[in-house]
Amino acid sequence: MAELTAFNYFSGNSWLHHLDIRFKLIIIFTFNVISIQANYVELMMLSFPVLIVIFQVKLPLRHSLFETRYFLYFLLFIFLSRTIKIDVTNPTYLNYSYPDMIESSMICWRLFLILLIGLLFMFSSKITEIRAAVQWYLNFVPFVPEKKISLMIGLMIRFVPDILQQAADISEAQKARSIGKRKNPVFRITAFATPLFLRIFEQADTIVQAMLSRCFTENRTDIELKADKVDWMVLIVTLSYLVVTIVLDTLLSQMSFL
Amino acid sequence: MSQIKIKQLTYQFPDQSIGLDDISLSITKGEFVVIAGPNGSGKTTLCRHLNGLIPVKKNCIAINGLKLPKDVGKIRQLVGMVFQNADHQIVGQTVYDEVAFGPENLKLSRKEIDHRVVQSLKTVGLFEYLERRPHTLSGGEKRKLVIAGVLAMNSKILVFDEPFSNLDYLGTKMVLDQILKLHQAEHTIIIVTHELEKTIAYADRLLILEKGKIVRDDQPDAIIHEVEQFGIREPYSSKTGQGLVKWLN
Repeated sequence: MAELTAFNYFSGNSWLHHLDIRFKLIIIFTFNVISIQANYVELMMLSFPVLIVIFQVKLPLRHSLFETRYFLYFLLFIFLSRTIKIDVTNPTYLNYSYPDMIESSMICWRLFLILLIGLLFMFSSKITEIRAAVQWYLNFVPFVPEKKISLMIGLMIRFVPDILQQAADISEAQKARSIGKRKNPVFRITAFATPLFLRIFEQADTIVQAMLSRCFTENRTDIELKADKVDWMVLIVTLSYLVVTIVLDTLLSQMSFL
Repeated sequence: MSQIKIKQLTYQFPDQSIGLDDISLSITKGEFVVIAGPNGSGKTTLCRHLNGLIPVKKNCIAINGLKLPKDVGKIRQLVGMVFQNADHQIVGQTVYDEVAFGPENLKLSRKEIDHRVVQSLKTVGLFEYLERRPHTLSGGEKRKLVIAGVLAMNSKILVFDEPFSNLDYLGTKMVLDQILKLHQAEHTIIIVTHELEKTIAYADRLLILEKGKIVRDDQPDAIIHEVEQFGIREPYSSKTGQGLVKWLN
């Protein structure tokens, strides 16, 4: 369990760690919404501050990318599948075009940027803070049991590193017993998924018991959320930067149109 | 005076197998009790009953005059459980969060929570790790962290389920030393184990469980030579005629 996974909180003293979690959520949400539709100019404008923050807060990027390597393979798959076309008349001949390549690299870049933003968020935010922020926002929505929902989100996030760790342990144990020699994918998936789910359920049961033994209740002392001047400044600067990005991109696209 | 009273406690698992069979027992304040038995003898099931984690019939268990299941909340606060696998018990993302989890459930003020967290971490010697991630601690430190989490709830009775499992020599020393300090601080200590070597010399009382029944209940010296007939290894020092030697010496 001492092994780290990408989506873990790392305690630190950076401004990102101290930023009010409610503001962090707004910033991340806005960044992600813009990233989803961003073109090259916007992507460059968005990636630049993200990279600066990654180096500034010392996110262990190499380790995080290694941990999320399957997602990166998935991006590569998307890129190849959207770029390469098979000629029906001559299936041995693979076609590709530069516009397709540009289009698919943009999609991959968007998804990669969202991944980096997610890593930064998880790196600098405690589950208890995220829960408190979700609860705070849901408080404004009528007829929504905010405490229950925030608890479920908190537990789900709490479980992700454990599940990944369990999966890695099982995978290693199976490799040690030459699972690689079994070519049947159904057998391999069943052999992997069955013990994984069993262990997850067992662990969930133990965690529930451990929580109950410490008087767990929905109605508990929550984290005190406080926003100070720095939080407001970071929010205003970030949102202004995002507005500038959109305006600049609009202007550039109009100029190229003319 | 008895702090824990158990009267005719019987428990059947959902598959109808017997977990506990007519257990009656009383434990006095400040006592150091070792509950031993082979795998499947009902040790952990008994522990979980003490914390109200398994539903019981009325008036079977009373702790400090509080009865299960009526006073389950207060009893859980009074009886701190340290589970076998510390990794599975830890819910906080930092050492602070982990220790604060219990007091937060008790709806204490943030000031009181901070005070209790600091005190508990100082007691177990982990104060300098306040902002560390629990999963980066050593096995012994994790176990001490879980103990701190229980202490922060002001638990007076501490139940340890196999406290030394998966620990190396240093980790075991660290945890045993901590348990002894807590006993000196007048906590009631209940240790559940299948391996007596480390704790028996410090215990006031040894209870042996077999197939859900208490088959021996006496001072360790009086029954230590009988333990092997119940599938428990007799400590080497006792076997070789040196009596019960303290493991930390």
